[in-house]
Amino acid sequence: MAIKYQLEDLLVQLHRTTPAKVDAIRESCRRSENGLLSVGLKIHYLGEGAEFDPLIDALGGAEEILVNHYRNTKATLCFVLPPVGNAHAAIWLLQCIERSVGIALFNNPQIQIQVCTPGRIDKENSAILAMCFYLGSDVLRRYNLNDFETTFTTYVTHPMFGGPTDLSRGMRIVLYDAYGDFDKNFEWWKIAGRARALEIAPQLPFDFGRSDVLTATSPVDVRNINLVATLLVHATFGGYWEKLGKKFVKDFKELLDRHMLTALLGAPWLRTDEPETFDNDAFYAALQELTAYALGEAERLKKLQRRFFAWRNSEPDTSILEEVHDLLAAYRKVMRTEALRFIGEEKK
Amino acid sequence: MKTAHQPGSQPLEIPESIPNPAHEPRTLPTPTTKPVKAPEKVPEKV
Repeated sequence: MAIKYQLEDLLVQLHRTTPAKVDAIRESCRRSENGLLSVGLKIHYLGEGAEFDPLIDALGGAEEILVNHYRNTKATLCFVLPPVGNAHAAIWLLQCIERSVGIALFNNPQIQIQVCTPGRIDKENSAILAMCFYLGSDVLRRYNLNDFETTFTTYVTHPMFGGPTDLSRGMRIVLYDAYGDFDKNFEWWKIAGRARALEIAPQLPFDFGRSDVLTATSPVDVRNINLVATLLVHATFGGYWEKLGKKFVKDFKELLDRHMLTALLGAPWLRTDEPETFDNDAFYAALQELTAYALGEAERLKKLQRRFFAWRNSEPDTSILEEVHDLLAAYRKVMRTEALRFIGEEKK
Repeated sequence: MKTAHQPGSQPLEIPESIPNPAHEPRTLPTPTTKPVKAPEKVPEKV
């Protein structure tokens, strides 16, 4: 991620329109919330307007700060924001930018928010992250495959630049970074000693690598991606939430099994350098199956809610949408309770 | 919004996105209990 300005530069500009929120961001921008990972954001603007120009000019101008080669192919700009320590600060940052530029960033079809999490998760965990993001969102969408088309869908560099030459990411919801800048100065919760006590390290345990989710549109999306990606990264890299992350994977797989959707995990939800993951259409077919099932469930839920009494007196509800919603809420609660317990022990 | 129709039929509008009903508040209606009717005293037969 090439960012040619500091978070503080941005906050100085935003302070004019939203001073209280900017002060809150300053105060909490390096802090982890319940051991959740830091959040990076990219704003892909699909509109034609010049709303972002004054802010970008104040930060040094488009030629200076929009040097990033990566963007959605339909976007006129991709505004990369410096990462912050928690999802609340990330949402506040977006709200401050909304006020500054004068257009809505949330639930705006002309805006795609990319949520970046440090740490690369594997193919299966990427599938789980993408499905949890989709089913847990407050909006159910129909996608076209080219909604995921970026300037890195196919991207091969010359060997003279060193490092991997094929940086193609395909057309996917979840994609890896392209070895850009990486800020590792965020808290990492880890297990220390035989007592398996919590220790908070000042830095992340890896020097590069992110797992990003495209097409987020709401604060709910930002929070859900942050939660699920944290669990999966901790399960992968042995963080404090490793055990909980593995349990989450198990619970989500059982949920898919109950709805006869387990086969979807085998689709190429992430494009890696393995040829069997290259097929964009196979990913899109799996996404369409998930979309069709989710939209059918939404319709069924709406009908059931209209016939409330018949619903309550019938068999227990097994909507995948409510199950994912409740699963995420349950894990969020467990993490909060555990973190509060730790803070309580620290004070003793 | 996508539209799809066959000749001679009304266009069918398919929304691009819909709200996820799982995020709508799940409210249970408060049970309405009918007041218990006090039994009327049956006059004793004289």
